[in-house]
Amino acid sequence: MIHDASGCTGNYTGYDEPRWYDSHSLVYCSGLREMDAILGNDEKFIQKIENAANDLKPNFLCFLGSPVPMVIGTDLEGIAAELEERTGIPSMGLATTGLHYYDKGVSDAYIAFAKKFFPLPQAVRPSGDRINILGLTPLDFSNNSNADDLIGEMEKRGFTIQADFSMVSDFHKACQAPSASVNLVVSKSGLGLAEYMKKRYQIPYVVGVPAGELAADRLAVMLKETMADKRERVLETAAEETSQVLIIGEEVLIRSLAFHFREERGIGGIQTAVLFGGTQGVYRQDSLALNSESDIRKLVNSGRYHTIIADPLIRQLIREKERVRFIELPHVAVSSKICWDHAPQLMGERLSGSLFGFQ
Amino acid sequence: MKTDCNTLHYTSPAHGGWGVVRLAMLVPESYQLFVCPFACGRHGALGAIGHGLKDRLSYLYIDESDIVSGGYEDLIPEAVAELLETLEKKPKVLMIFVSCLDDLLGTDHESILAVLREQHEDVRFTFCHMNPITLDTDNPPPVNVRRKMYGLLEPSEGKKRQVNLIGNPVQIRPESELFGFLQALGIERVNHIAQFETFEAYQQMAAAQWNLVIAPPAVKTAMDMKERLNIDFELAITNYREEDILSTYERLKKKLADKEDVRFDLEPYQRRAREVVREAREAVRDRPVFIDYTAVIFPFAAARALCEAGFHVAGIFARTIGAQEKEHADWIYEHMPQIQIMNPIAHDIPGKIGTFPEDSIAIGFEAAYVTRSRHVYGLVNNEGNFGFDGLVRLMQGIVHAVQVEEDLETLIKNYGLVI
Repeated sequence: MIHDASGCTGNYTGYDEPRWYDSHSLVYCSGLREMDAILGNDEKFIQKIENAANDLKPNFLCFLGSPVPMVIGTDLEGIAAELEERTGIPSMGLATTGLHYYDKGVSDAYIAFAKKFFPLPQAVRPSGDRINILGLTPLDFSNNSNADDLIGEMEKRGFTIQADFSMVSDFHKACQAPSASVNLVVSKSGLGLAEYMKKRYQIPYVVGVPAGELAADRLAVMLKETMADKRERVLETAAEETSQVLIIGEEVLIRSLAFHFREERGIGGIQTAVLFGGTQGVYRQDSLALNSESDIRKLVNSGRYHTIIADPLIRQLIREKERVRFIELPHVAVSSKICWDHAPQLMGERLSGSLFGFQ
Repeated sequence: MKTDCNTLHYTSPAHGGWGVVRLAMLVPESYQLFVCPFACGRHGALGAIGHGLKDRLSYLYIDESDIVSGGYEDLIPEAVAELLETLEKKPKVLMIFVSCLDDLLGTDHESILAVLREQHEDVRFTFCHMNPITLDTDNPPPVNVRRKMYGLLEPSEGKKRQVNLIGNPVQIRPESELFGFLQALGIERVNHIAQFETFEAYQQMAAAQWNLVIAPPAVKTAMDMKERLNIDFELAITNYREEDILSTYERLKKKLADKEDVRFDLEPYQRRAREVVREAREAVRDRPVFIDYTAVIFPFAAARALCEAGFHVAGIFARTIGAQEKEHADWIYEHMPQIQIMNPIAHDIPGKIGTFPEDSIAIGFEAAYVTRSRHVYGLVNNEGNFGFDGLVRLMQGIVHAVQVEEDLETLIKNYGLVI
């Protein structure tokens, strides 16, 4: 349940969730209204959820905040505890506010899920080549075959996927995620859960996306090495002093694309620049952080890049468009439904065929 | 009509309409500044891009510190100054939109407006609300935004025998007999906001003698305009029953006619509508028809019209029964108890998906989403329909839905629904 009036839920169903169209997912809006907000009438919402929960019998209940609950100080965790008491259904409350980027909300949700449903460390039995994929969100990977392809690339290389968060996850498999022996983090959203599982279950992680054949092969090697020595690894390519190619986007993905260009295609001089904040401390050298439209505007018009790879909406910020080769990399978290129908296929050998046929 | 708040709301991709951004853009030479958390702004901005309106829209994003400190109020004049300096063409009107948060912060809009008016004498300012939190009040966003849009009209001296059509974002089809009828009543001109390209021309609406309210969210606007601009009003909500259509025309005649003997024969239009209804019924045969409240403003009345015309109405999707159509809802309950009445936002809706006959005809996107019908008439809020021509168009839409299978996702995307 998203605790809001309908506009915030509209963001989710209309713009953040490319799978929503054919979904039967039980995602609801609480229908928050002014008087209930002013009077702090939480009982009304608890009752509504209780009614729905008794009918629908879901695996769990999760109650999410929005800007108004933030201002009135709604106790989302308290409401979740009350719901759990009344319905007997495991419940979580997440104090999301609408004032942070999506990766924080996703990360908080993963960790809350882990705390609620993962078994105690002493009850976990790691098994062989099982891996989890963390951060496989539709906001980062869209709704084409990317998620299945990513899983396929790993399975092709001998790994069994215990759980992926969040594209194809089965609830019961996700609950048993700590039985994997290593986590593969494919976006910043998955990093928090990876750190949590490292601390609590001593499961190490590898960061990277199998974008291109070589990246997939390299990741497979890294996963096996990490299984053996329990050390974290990241897929990255050596830093270069000069850059003519700029890739803007989510850091784990664009770092992996940079690896593909450099190592598989021999294209050097790539600068990565992240929207929504980077993954500090993960890579040897930080990416550029773009904190505003103004930052993006300055960078794309700096005259340093002959090629820019970014979400299509960023193209309109480029002043001298004819002097820059622009390659579209739609990111659902940026351009949403405006561009998600032509999100490129990025995994394994599909990358060379579909995207970026440039040299 | 107030929205039902007694259930968790299921929000399907078919949910929504024009949204306040697109609606308020009807004001010529206006620009919008949204002051809100960026999560609120996201979908308005994306919707505006989809409609090619993003060049008339900017955002001032606020964060926790702005909210807690109250610095939010000070930020607005600064942002407005920066915006007006940046824009290549200065807008005639700057509409400042605030979100739900603002309702709880107690912002003093009047004092901000006083500052803005003093600083920028050549621009008109108004505060508008994108606050669905007020959906169960008398002034929800669809009502508020219309009041603000028409609140920009300035009093005009003298009245002309002109009529404004208000409430409907899309102009009524010129084929409608309404225009000939109004002409016969002695009306010299019919105005609609969408026809004006300049803010100055838009001011002509202030000189009209009457407002005809085509959609309920404009009733309060009409009341405002009566008080402030001395424009009398009459309800003329689109409906599809012959009896209701005739009764609307009768009321209009009483109210607007400049002479007792009005010569306008509605019968040919009525006859033509009956003929098209008969053709449509033959095309549809026994297929189940589902109709929803997003397609027509009064779904029970429309369903009754279809039932009376011999269609097999199988379901009505409605969130609540408004007082204006209670009579029709009672008729449905009494005479057609087999019709399923469903709330498209009820929590059990996902479980109903896939349980409807494959050959169903859906009128409206919500009905299409839940029934998964491929025979869809993507009508939204009666757009363009009025009178017997409206009935003809409804029938043509139904026949088209029988003949051509549609992909609902494409239909919705092309329409550009925004919550």
